Amino acid sequence: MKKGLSRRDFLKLTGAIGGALILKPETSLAYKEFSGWPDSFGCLTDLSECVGCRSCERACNEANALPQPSIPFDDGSVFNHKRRPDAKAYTVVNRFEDPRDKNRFIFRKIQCNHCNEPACASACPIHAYDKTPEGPVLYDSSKCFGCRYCMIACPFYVPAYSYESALEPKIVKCIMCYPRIKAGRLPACVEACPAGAITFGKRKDLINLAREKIMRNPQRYVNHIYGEHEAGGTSWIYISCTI
Amino acid sequence: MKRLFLISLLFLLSTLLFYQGAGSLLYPKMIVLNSISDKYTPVKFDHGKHIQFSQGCSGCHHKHQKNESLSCKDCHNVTPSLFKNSVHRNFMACRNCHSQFNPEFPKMPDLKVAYHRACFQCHRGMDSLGVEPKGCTQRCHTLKTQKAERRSP
Repeated sequence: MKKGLSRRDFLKLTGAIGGALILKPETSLAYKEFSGWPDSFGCLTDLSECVGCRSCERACNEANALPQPSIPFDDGSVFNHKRRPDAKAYTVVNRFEDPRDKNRFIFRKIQCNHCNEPACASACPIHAYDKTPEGPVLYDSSKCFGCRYCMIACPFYVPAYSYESALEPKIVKCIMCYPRIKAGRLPACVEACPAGAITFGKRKDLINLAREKIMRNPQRYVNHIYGEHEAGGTSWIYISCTI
Repeated sequence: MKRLFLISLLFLLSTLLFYQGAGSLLYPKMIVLNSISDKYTPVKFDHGKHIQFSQGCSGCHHKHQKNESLSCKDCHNVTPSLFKNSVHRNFMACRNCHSQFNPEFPKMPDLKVAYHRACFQCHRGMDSLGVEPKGCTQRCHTLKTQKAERRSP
């Protein structure tokens, strides 16, 4: 009996493995299996409910003791250009024209989506980021040395940098009001929203709620829950009205 | 004389009851919604006017005349004998169900959301509501700080 692997057997084996890999494309869908922490919290933003009052922005500003914005919260001119979260605003609402009716608008609130498998945390060389079992992705500024890899890694362009602070700049982003959640309260923006456009709860309950909303009103909603699988699943999920 | 007085009293009472049965006197006309007024001033809600606009109560009182409805007594807390006459007077306040938001039951909105959703279903698009943030203060209520600023020159 021959010892080891013959050349012929080796080629057969590698051919078989290679063939199996090519013939099994569903392995590329493995990212859907990232489930995150069980029973973690999340938020569901229903864009069809949002009326663009910016109460969430105001509440976020107060809860995080951020500086007053240059354009006041009740000034609609802020919608004239598209904004993204920065060091002075962890959440922003942008306005888009409804293509069916120019007098109607669709508003979209953006903030950190608190991914189940955060790319910012993966990219951080010093583990300054932490995905908490409650859901929020937190950042420890005492560890950060300012490489800003997280800003590049984030698929949603969320982490911002306090550039104006020359000596102690840090990364800033929404923390889903982690201290408030720990105290059994709602995130500030959720509590402030008059339209109920943001719902706070267990992520798995919210996905069911989103599904139910779409099912009950298929004319109104796009049949997709954004964030259910995107970027491996996010704690902050969205449903939107049809266009 | 005493008998006449009693008869007229009975007559008055019966007419009053008749009108109650007809429902014309029963609906509140103007309501000040101030139970959750915190940052904004209370809303003066003209209920009478909205009755004229709306087609039936179910447009706003969401559980009314729908398949998903609760049984009548869940909102109108009355005995069957009283039910026909004074059902509207015994209407249960929205806040009895819609109090605080509980993440365990994410489908149940709190009072603030329940109020706003009822209004937004028609008012969205009026007076730039749903177009820009000022719409809210133009149509229904002003910020309390705004009011204070306006008062002080």
